[in-house]
Amino acid sequence: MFDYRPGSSPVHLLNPVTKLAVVVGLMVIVFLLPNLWGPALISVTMLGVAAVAGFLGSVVKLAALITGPLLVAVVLIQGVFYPGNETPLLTVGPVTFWEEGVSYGLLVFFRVLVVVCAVSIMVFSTHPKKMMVAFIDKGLSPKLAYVFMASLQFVPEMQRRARAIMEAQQARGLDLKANLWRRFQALLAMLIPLLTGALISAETRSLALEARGFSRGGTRNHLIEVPDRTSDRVIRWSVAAIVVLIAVWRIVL
Amino acid sequence: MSLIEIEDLTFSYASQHEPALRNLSCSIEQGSFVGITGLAEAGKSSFCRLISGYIPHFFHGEFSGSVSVAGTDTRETTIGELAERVGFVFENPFDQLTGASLTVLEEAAFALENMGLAREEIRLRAEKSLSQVGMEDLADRHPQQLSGGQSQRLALASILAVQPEIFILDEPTSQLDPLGVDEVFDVISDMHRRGYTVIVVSQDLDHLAIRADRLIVVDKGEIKWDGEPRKILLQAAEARYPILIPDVLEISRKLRAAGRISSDSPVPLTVEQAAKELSSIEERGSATETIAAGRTSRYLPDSRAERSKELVFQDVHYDYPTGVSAICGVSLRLDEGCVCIVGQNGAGKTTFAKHLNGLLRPTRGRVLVRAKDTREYRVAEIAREVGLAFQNPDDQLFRGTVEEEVRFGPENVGTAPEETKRLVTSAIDLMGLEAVREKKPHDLGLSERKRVATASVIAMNTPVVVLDEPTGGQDAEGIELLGHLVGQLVQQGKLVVVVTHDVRFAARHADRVIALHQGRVLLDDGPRPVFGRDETLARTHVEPPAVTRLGKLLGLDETLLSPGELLAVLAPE
Amino acid sequence: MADSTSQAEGGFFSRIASDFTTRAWVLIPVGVGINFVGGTLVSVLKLPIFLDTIGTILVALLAGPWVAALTGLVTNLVLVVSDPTLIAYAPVNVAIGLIAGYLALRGWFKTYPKIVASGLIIMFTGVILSAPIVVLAFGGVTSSPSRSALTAFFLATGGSIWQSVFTTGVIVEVIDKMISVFVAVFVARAVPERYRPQKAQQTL
Repeated sequence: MFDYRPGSSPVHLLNPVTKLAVVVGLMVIVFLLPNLWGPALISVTMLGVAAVAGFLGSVVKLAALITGPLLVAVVLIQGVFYPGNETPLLTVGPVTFWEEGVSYGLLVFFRVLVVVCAVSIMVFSTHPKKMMVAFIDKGLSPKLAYVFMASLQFVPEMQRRARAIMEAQQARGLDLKANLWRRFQALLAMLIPLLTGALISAETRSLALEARGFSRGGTRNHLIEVPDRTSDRVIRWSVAAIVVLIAVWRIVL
Repeated sequence: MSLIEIEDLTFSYASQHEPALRNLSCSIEQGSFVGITGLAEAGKSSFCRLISGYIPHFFHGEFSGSVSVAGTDTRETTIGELAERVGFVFENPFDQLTGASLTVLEEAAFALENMGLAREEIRLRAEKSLSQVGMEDLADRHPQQLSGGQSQRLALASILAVQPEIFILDEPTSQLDPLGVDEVFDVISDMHRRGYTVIVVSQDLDHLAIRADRLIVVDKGEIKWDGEPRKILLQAAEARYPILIPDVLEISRKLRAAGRISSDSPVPLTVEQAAKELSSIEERGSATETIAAGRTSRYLPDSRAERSKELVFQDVHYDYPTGVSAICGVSLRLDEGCVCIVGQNGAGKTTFAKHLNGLLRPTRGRVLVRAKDTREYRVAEIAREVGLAFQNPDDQLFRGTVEEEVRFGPENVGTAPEETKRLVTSAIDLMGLEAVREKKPHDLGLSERKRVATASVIAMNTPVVVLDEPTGGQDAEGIELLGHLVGQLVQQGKLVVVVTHDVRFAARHADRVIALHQGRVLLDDGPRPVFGRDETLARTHVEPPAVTRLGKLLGLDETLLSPGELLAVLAPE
Repeated sequence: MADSTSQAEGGFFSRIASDFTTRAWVLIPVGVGINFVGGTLVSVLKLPIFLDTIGTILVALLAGPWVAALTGLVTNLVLVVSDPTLIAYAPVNVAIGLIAGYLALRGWFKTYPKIVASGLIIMFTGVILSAPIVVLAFGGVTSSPSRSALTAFFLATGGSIWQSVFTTGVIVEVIDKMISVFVAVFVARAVPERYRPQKAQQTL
């Protein structure tokens, strides 16, 4: 359920907390910057970082998949309907595209593109367990970390169970292609065993977790060590500083 | 002072009126290996939960009496604290894994991480416990990719890492294949040798009795028998009590009663021990005559052409989307009687079964169900011809009462109300569920739930019935019931296909046994010829039943399928 | 059955903490999983709904608002792996968990008219909270082309961006949320009592 691509680029070696700080920082920055040139430049930089990390192709693919339709839709909608439209750009039949709207649409697109690239770079370059350990080192509750890891792994498990239930109920004659009313009943015939089965497992699992010290207070330690280097701290402070500077600039102007 | 002391314990779960345990008293010494067995819902799991503190801290209810572990009353401590002394392994291998680990080593280290030990020590102890269960090579594997037997061993390793003194295992092998069962019991024996106190609940007395130094039979919340395993088994056999007495012991008991062997030496618990004891018998009847005189095999050759129940596989291949080949060129015809499919996990048994009702369609070749090609019909339509009962009843149960649940099948295939009533009643009777007809399915134990799920498929009254591992987790009564069911269905003219690891069941009830290996048919013949070929069967990790192996060790010329046949040879009238 | 108002001494945070028993923690991945599986089931059955918050609502019924809120949040985090833009909707999923949980505790899932009302409240919560995100972060566009087309239609008829996004949201979400709450109640009621966490006594 996660997309870690192993590697040893500088991006891979950064502490996950640093990467999170950069992602959050970028998200704030792109929404503070007033026009599309800032975000556009940052997007290109992101692609560069992805190339250094060794998964440029994957990032481009993901970005295209998600922001592609968004680009088309938002430029169309904002191009036509943006309230500040004054300068016509292009007329196709009865519909007019305006410069201001298209500009705004592109701004939205580049902002989203930066976020998509930043998040996917983080996801591709960070092993989830290391991410959790890094966060726990900085104070995240281990139970929350547990819940995140367990959920990541539980989704494919639930899909597998749902498939088994679908098969078992079909073997009793449940028809998945009958009329609408029966299909809703089929939904119940599948969700009920799914939830019940999951609750039964949950009972065993909570006993097993209790027995393994899940509720224990006190310090915990981890098999994996995730270093937090000076370079990490420098980057985090820099990001914070840039965000503050830009914020001040925008408020003052 | 014993390690574990239970005094006059009575307990009722909050949701039930009947007490689960009644005035139960028991002491367990350090270093002992205690086996616990009994009918389903006898109170065996409740007994275990007392020691780990799950009762009363997790399962609430009315509690009287006392339980102490290493001198501490369990009411005055917590589950977490008790867990440092008492390790607990559950029935379902996968449910007790944390779900948050990405490698086997991490999983084994989970408890240690929570204890806040130094990093190096965590690693050392986790690796050590993995090697104690024979899993050190799998340290980097993802826990979800493990087999049932491997998962159970991983659970054991996770607990071993904490180094408790006492291990409780509640039906640890009921969901495993024979290979997994052997693996887990070997590890348990090993732990006992190292000094751990081990308590194991199991229906598998073949594996348990030879290893335990004490056997307790629990009945309706009380201890019925408690003592040395051989002694207890003999008592239970005398009283005809429904637990799965090992065949070799039953044979020996009967021969001693008939005066054919002396009662000096202890009763055998393994095939080898029995062979030694019985080889002293000089006069034997003829095996060939005995078999010929008995019931003739119900197996009928497949040359009958126009059988309307016919299931045909024509050069069937099945490849999973991942590319793995599960079925590689299977061609056969099934038409009547009871057909048992055996083979190791991964040989393709369940994949084969799913082809029988159209849940899976061949990637090459075809499957014809009564002349209908499965690729041209919906599963719901084929369900009218082929009823398939899966292993896990909880994948199916969702209605308020047993009766409503059993009705679901016939309702779906459009049976008329009158007919439905009749079919439901007959299915409920066949599966021994009369007494619980109005109860909620989930208030019943696992073995009864399984019977409910099976009943709902029987009630569909299909000409072909397929059962996937119906005997898993069943007690002796449940297995008797299933045997009776199979007989009834075959008599009604139906084709019954049973996918099973239980070779004893197959030997007793099958007309035809098909052994699968790596997606191909390894053997396909009557039970006698198939179980006689033990070297071939070994390729797919199938061992013939104990009686068969015993007969072979005694040098008999025919393959035996039941204790009755062996007794007729060794104690001819 | 302790009433939350009688625990004034414990304070707000300890009341939240008491919701999080080990059973509750284990329930969260179940809720997350069901949120995902809901989508698979409706596509196999070809039903005209999303059912993507059914897990959150179920957890709300079984374990209360805070556990459900966390379920919603974790669902979003897991989704981020496949679609990073969804991180923006995290507050919406958290809010849905909270609202559903509070409605559940106050008995708003016990009778049919109240269930309908709960469905509407949850729907409006979702739409009102997501509207600013859609407008300010995404310029009025969502990941579904048909939904964007609907928004375009409303814009073309003269509505403002806010009105159009809001109306689109209501139209698209109302059926899904109404059905989700009913399905959640039927499923939760069908779960055998011995497996239902304590909270469910109050909510169902």
